[in-house]
Amino acid sequence: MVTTPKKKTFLKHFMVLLFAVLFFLQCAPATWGKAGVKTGGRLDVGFTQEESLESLTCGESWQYLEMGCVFWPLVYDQLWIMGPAPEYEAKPMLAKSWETEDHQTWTFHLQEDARFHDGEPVTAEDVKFSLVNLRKADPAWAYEDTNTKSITVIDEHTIQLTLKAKHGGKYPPAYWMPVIPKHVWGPHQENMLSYDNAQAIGSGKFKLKEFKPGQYLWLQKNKEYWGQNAYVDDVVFRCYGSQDAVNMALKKGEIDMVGYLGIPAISAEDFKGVKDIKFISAPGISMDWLTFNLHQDNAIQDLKVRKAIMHGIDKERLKNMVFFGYARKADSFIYPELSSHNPNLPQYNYDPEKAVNLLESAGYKDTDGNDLRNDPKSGEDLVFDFLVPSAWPDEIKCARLMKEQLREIGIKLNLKITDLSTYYGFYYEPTSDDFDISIATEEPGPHADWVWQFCRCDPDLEMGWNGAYYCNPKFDTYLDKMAEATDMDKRKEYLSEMQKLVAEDLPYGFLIRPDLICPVRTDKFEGYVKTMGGVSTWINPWSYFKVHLK
Amino acid sequence: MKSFILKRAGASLITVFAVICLNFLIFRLAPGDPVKMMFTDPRVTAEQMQEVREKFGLDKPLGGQFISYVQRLAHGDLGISFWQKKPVTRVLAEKIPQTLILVITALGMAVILGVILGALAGWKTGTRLDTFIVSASLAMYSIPSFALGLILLLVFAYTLTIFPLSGMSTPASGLTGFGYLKDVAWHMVLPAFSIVMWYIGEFVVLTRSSMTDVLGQEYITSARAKGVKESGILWRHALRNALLPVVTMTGVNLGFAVAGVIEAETVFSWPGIGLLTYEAVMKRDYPLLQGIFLLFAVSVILANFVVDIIYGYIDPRIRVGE
Repeated sequence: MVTTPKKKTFLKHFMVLLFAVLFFLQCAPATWGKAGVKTGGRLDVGFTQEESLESLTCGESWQYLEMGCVFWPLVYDQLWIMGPAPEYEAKPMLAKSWETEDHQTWTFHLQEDARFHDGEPVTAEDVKFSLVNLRKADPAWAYEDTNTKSITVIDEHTIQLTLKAKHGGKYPPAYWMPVIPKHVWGPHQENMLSYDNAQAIGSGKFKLKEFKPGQYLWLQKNKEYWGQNAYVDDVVFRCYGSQDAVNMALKKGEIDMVGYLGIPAISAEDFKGVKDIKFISAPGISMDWLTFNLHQDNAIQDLKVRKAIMHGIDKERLKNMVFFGYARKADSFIYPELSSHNPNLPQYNYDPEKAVNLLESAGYKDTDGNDLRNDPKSGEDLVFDFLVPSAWPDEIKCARLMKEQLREIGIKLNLKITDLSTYYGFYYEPTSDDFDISIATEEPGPHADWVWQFCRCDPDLEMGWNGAYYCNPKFDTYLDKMAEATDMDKRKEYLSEMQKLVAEDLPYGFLIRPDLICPVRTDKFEGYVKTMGGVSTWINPWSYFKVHLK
Repeated sequence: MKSFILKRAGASLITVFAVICLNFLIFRLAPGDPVKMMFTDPRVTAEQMQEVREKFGLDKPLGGQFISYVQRLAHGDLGISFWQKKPVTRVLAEKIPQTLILVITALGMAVILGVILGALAGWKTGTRLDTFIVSASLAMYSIPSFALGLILLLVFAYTLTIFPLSGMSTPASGLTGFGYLKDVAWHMVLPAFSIVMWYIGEFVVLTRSSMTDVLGQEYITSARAKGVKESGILWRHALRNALLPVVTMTGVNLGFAVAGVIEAETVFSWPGIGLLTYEAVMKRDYPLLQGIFLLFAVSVILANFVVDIIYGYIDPRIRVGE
């Protein structure tokens, strides 16, 4: 076939035109933001089915369910928000500023131009409504820093909170509280949890476009947002049947990142060196520990037994065998990189000889020749019920390893593996004596005053955070002083003492802090924000705000 | 026939009542306080717990709870889901259509394919074709459906990228009308296929054994003697009579299939009753689980009842006892 010059010219023009059109189409959805950042695009995020929301009601699923606690900070504004690592500073959000003289009465000045997604202005009345009614609706919203004597609306954009006690530290009160619109929720305030919140009207950077329970949740950028907006146009939370499916979706580019807990350590190697995937690993936000039930009338009451158990556990082995090296040892509720961590805490390193000596010195010897030590008081074998929830596969592996290890020092653990609801039912009611030792995990985060309630003595409380039934008045005195301390050095001092007391009394024996492995796709987007816990957690909505097209 | 139907209906109602009693008791025998388990947060006050107890009628003694449970059931009220805070009937109504679409499609395909392959295997008994069909069907039947599901995902959704990894429709696609239906059909291929593979073995083996029985009957010999073509003997004379047990099996499986899709729906994230069951178990949602189990039981009992009636019409011999 012969190509004439005329045909050649036509072909050339056609190709130029075609490339121009393709280039235009490629660029069309994106625009350039003020900061020279390319805006637009859709960020797809994967969640497993168990992590996904089935409704948008404002209950504990916004606190404890992975998709829930990532969803609401995108749709609802807070008075202030915790900034990203490493400072984790309190940053203004709906409140442009705040002040206090005595740390008990706090005045917040709100943004004047903030509006809800339906166009209604955000006022101090909405803030008051949220603070009063959310904690009434569900105990999940009840925290010390929103426990108020009174809330006064000074004017449309000024609100004053008088707390029941002084609130010290570097953060203002009312942490992690969504501001919901009174005009929407008002008619349902007597039974907030029965309101389906199908429209999810907030004032946040994203608004709800479509929600198909158990399938996906589609958010679109709130183009009328009053402040610095997000860069992506859409965020879609997609639900998958298993972690394997989430991993596959990430590899094939169906999602750009994993919604919460990243990927399991066992899959880490699969994501290293993969084209268009950036392998991110961050220190974890969660930590695992042992809770000793001090309500039980048995050998677990004996501090030497608890110490022996801690010395009998090889944390290094847990780290390597369960988490494939992606973990670090933990020794306190406070992370070592934070300034309030006490670096001089007693350490319970793996030392089976020391464990045996501790038990021998306290009279725990094998008196009946069955390879198990006996309690000198009761004569019974040292056998403990060890509570573990079936929903935590890594913790089950840890429990099995610990069972093996403690057998070496003459202690037997009976694994009591239950569903998660039963686990919590047993765990938070130590007085029912359903366990001797339990594995536990939490995500204290950088602003972790609340986690110390785990150690507060309150024998009258039927249920509470204190799964160990620990009671040391000295600790409570420090806790009260710490909560109210306005002098940062004093506060640090109290926190150090509290950590030391817990490490010495051992109601909780800290084990391990698993790393978060959160690979992200980089073919379309960049700007993922990494904090402790990875790129997407309850303390880190920043990736959603900062991710942008390349 | 009328008394036959009445007898069967009576037996079905007694079974349903027994299921209701069992359904009520089984959840109350589980360890732990259901009210405490409703809250992940331990800071719930005694007043809040009491309020919930009263709301769900859990403050009454067991007998009183049972009476109010039966009374509410009689009015079609299955209670409020602890987890979703919605009436259980509404939660179920939202999920049933998704499951039925999947189950009916998959079971229909399993019956058609199973009967054809079973008939061929029965027709060619002892041949390589027979061995192949039976072995392949049994192999599929013996693979756990979640494992088969994961293999299908890995091969067809991840490696070949022909089908989607999860869900019932493409997220945030904005599709409507025919485009949406096509999208749903595309998403249904893998979950339906995993269910078909699971059920097909049963139908193949059943049809094959029924065919071998029928083919030994005298009327088949007589048809051959009359010079009826082999294909005519297979499809018109043998298969028709061999289908009777298949009808029973289809009906019974239709009832069981609603419960049997739990694994397929979980692996493929298909938002139906199966996935709902899994999540309700994980969240210990008693009212919802009671509702789901009642639905499963009633669907099995109903399917059995309908099959009995149909069978009574098809084969008058089973009405002999009436």
